[in-house]
Amino acid sequence: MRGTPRLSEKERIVLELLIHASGSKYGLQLVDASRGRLKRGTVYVTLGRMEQKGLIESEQEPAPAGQGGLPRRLYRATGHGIRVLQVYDDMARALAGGREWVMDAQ
Amino acid sequence: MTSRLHSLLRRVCTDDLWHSIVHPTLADLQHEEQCASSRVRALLAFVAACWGLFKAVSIYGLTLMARDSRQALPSLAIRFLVALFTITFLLAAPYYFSARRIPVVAHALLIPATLTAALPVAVFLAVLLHASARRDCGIHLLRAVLPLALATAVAALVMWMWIVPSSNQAFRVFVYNSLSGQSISSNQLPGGWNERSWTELRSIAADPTHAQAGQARGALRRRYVWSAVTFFAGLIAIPFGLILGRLRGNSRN
Repeated sequence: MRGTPRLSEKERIVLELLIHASGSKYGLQLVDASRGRLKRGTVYVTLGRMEQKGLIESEQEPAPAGQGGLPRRLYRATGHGIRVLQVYDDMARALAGGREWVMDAQ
Repeated sequence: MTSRLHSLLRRVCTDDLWHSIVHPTLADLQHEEQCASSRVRALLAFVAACWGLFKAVSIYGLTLMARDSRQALPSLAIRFLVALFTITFLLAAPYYFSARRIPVVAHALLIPATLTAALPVAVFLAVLLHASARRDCGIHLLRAVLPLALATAVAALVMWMWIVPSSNQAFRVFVYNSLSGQSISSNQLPGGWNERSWTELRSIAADPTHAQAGQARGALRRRYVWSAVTFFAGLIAIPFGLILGRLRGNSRN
């Protein structure tokens, strides 16, 4: 599965947010930080898919002491996810550079 | 509200759905409710979270349906096509062999009408054989069967509403021309209820002054019901297939 990693637009946004935040984030924090690019209805489906691909990992935070609340789930990018995003960014830069080179040549 | 929703959903969700989607959403919702400055804001957060959860579960269900269908559809489709061909042949063959002097074209014009009967039976048999041969649990099977049942029901609807009326009319024109030695077109020979398409029936049914509006509505309703029968034939076959599979398993043991 890890041979040919594919990254959708939403997955790229999630990885960017997780990597640039340099730490873990909750699903709802990702929705807020994305400024409308991620929706509440799709964020956990995307996160679940990314976890299966090994791009991110999650852990349940310890339940708050004295409160009967549900423990929240924290998500962070894995090393594989960071490398995949770097490859995609490099590829995007190379493509943009190539396009400029072609336009300059014209 | 959230704790009630939590205990209700914990009972009905699968472990995977619970851990990947429902639990994180409810935990976020509870956090939002605790941070909300007023009851109105808490209620708004609850509504937004419920809507988000509904969408997430729908997407999750569709993804699973696509995965299960991809795995099961080839086997279901082969069984369905074999059953459809066999049943259509069994229904059409007696007429063909008893009246060989009638041109093949006339027999071919009756095949759409035969297919309307063959479609639900073929779906039923395909699902029955598939379900009895596999050891899938009910929900996997249901997700795999639903697309086939829906697609065949749509095909049956198209057959009932457009293809059968026009092929019936073409058959009548063909027979009339052969017997009378004339050459009239389809428009010149008045058709009965079984030769009227969905568009014609709809226009008659929608006209309250038309003397046969009630009959047109009845004819339309019958066609909708028969199309739905094709869909339900697939679903009804699932429990029968599972029982048959279990009986076969028991008899082997």
